[in-house]
Amino acid sequence: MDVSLIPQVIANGLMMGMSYVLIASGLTIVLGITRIINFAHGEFYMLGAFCAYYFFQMAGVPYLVTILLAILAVGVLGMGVERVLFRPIREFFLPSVVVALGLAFFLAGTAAWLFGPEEKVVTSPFPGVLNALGATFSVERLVVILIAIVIMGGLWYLITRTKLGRALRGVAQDREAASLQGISVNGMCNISMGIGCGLAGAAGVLLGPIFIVHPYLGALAIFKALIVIILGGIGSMPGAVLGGLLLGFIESFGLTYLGGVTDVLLFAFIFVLILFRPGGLMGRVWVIRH
Amino acid sequence: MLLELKEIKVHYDGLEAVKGISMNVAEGEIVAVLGANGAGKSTILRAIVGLKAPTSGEIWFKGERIDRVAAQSIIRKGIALVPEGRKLFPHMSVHENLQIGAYARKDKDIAKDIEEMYEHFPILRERRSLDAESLSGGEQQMAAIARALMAKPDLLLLDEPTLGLSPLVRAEIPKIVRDINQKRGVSILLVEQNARLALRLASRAYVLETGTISLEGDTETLLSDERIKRVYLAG
Amino acid sequence: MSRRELAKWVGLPLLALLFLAAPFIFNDPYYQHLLILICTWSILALGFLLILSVGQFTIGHAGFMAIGAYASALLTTKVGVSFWFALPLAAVIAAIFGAVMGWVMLRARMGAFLLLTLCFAEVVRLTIVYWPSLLGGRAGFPNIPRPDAIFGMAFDSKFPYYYLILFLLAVMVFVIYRMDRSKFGLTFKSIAQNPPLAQSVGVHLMRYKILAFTVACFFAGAAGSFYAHYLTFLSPEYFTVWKSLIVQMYAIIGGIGFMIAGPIAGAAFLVVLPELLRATETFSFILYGAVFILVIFFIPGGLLSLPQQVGVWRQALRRRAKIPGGIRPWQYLRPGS
Ligand SMILES: Nc1ncnc2c1ncn2[C@@H]1O[C@H](COP(=O)(O)OP(=O)(O)O)[C@@H](O)[C@H]1O
Ligand SMILES: [Mg+2]
Repeated sequence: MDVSLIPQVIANGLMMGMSYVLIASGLTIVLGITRIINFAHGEFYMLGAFCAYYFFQMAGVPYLVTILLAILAVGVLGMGVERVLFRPIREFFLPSVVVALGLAFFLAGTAAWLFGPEEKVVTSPFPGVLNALGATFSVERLVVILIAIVIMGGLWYLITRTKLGRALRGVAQDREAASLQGISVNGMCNISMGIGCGLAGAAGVLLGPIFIVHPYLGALAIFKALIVIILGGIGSMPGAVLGGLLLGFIESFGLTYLGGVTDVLLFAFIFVLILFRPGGLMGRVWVIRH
Repeated sequence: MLLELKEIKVHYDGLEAVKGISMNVAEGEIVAVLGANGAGKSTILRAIVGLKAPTSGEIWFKGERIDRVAAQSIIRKGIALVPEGRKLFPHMSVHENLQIGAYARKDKDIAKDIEEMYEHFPILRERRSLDAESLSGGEQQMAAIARALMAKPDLLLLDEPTLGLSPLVRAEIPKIVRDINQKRGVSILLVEQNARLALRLASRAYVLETGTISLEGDTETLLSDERIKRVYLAG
Repeated sequence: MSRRELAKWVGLPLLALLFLAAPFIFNDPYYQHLLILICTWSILALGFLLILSVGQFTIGHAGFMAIGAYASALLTTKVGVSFWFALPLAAVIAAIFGAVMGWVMLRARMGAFLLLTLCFAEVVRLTIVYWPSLLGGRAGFPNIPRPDAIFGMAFDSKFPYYYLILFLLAVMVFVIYRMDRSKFGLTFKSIAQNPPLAQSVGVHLMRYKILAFTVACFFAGAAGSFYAHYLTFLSPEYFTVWKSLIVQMYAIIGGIGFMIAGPIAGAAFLVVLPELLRATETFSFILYGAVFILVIFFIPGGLLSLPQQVGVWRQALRRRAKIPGGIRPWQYLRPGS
């Protein structure tokens, strides 16, 4: 075991973890409020990554503006999708799985058709490295961690401290009681999809320059996001944060020191976890939904 | 009349749970609905607040027809329901539950009104930052009533407020209900299985049996009715 | 003759004849390959629907197919067993896994069960990926022998493969038919639609669930074994969760109200459709996505419910009513059950 790698491994784990947190928290908000497993969530992330390519790389829009644009564009698209496709079948489990999966296929295929199936490279907005603690860190990754923390902070404020956040949580916890208070369940489902997809879009812009951008990016992203919310507890915001960071660190440490077996052990662990604690690691500490 | 139901019928999957009933509540009145389990009491309240659309009949409130109004708009018309089983938001604090009760209001007095609720129900102030699910049954009932009052309704619907409470706590409910009616001028439609308690509070009552009204009238008349005495007040 | 009898005595034999004659009608190796795929995926889709009929939603069925496939590949290459022993053995191995995992997982509610099956399938797939010395790893498992000749039939064209997989499919259909016809049938339906009620009338929920799960896994294993020796090569990429999900779409698009015909019709439709339209890979994605969404919105009971659905539309038109939702067999399935 090479101890000198540890700072590097921690930074990597934090970077991966925060990006998982961004993607998974969007998925968990939508799941908690609309009760739909949005299998197309990864495709919204993919669209965010293409925003990075077209706005930032091709059109030269400043990086931070690109993030805002992506949140807006992908979020609005998500709201449209919710209104047209999800609302009519929201109460039914089986159709919601089929429609969400169909949407994932449709968006991935359409992106491949419009943008071309080849991989695209986005140049780093913050090239350069930082030497500290006897290790090298890329500035870009540190910036990603920082921006992700800012976004999650904003989300936390919105959900826990505002009237809108209370209404969202109300719908997640008890739809009937929420509508009796005058909260529009349809409206909140729509907004949750906007927020969730906006987060996916932001994650896409942040990670686009670090990884490669291509239309079939979504499958892996949704898969990781699912693992995160299973780990943390379905529909739980703190769970998504804990699960995301945990997954980031497990992967970072595991791949460095154990190799591929990490993945097998991870799934075996999650299997046992679901058996004995179906609520995930956070157990009953839910914010979004019981 | 403040609230008027005309020939209301409600079906669940073809099963008729409420079979064409008419009832009304006047301004400032406390009206009770009595009936055994499964008689259709909750169903009537759910029809009034728009959670379950009636299959036929009309519901009028303040001269406006409301039987096709969505649940989320009912509270803005001035009707608040304290549902059976309280239905507080389990993972929100008591304080947040009160805040969310005022969701439909546009004015700026919300903080002041929450303060007033705490004056009225001191136990809620003590529990203000606890999750609603951790409260006892009686505390939850008070929180649910306070949440409903935060909307400043003209009509309060109470669905079995004494259900599952200990006798000691149950005894406090009549005073609370009467206070709401007299000090705030809120009209009340009270659904109860506990006929003795309900008849003590209300000025009029309807007795519901498997979806139809079998008896109605002033509480004095009902209290002296032989059948009521035998079936609902025995023991 | 009533319509029912007509369907039974004329329709069914005709259909059987069609299946038997199919490789002669489409006498081209590529079309025959598609026919073989349709039968293979039908077996998996039928298994999915069998599990769904006891009220559980699996998204990891390909994992059991992988177990059958790799077990069979190991038995023939490392142990030296003939394919004709390896196939039933592989099916039994998959069934044993199914019974044990079913015993463990089926206690979970639908939502958790779905995740458990996902994890199980991933453990299987990742074990293959990270055990290259035995299972070939990412690079794949090469040189799996073709089946030995049987009844004088050598496996050197698509014909014997097609009849073999058709035979497996027919056996599975027969088993499901018998289960559906026996007192199981009603029981299954009541378990899926109203678990508390089924429990209260004394149905041993768990026994039926495990039985359905084990049968589904047995045939998934058999199909896996067939698949291994048909392709003579295996890769863990054949058995991803996405594969499971797509196969299950076959059953849903065909119609979950049609216990046997639905999955087969769905598999046939979705395998053939991109070929008919000569779709590229990209276009197939768009096509599948559009079909999934359109079917749920306009023929919610699945393709086979189209005649009934047309009836519903016509009635609505005649009464000038709003077009109703239509036939929705899934409305009783709730994730909480
Ligand atoms: N969601 C529902 N689905 C089907 N039937 C219901 C439902 N809710 C209530 N019922 C039936 O309607 C009748 C009246 O129920 P309810 O109004 O809850 O009675 P009460 O409140 O007087 O106890 C009962 O027979 C009950 O079984
Ligand atoms: Mg009731």
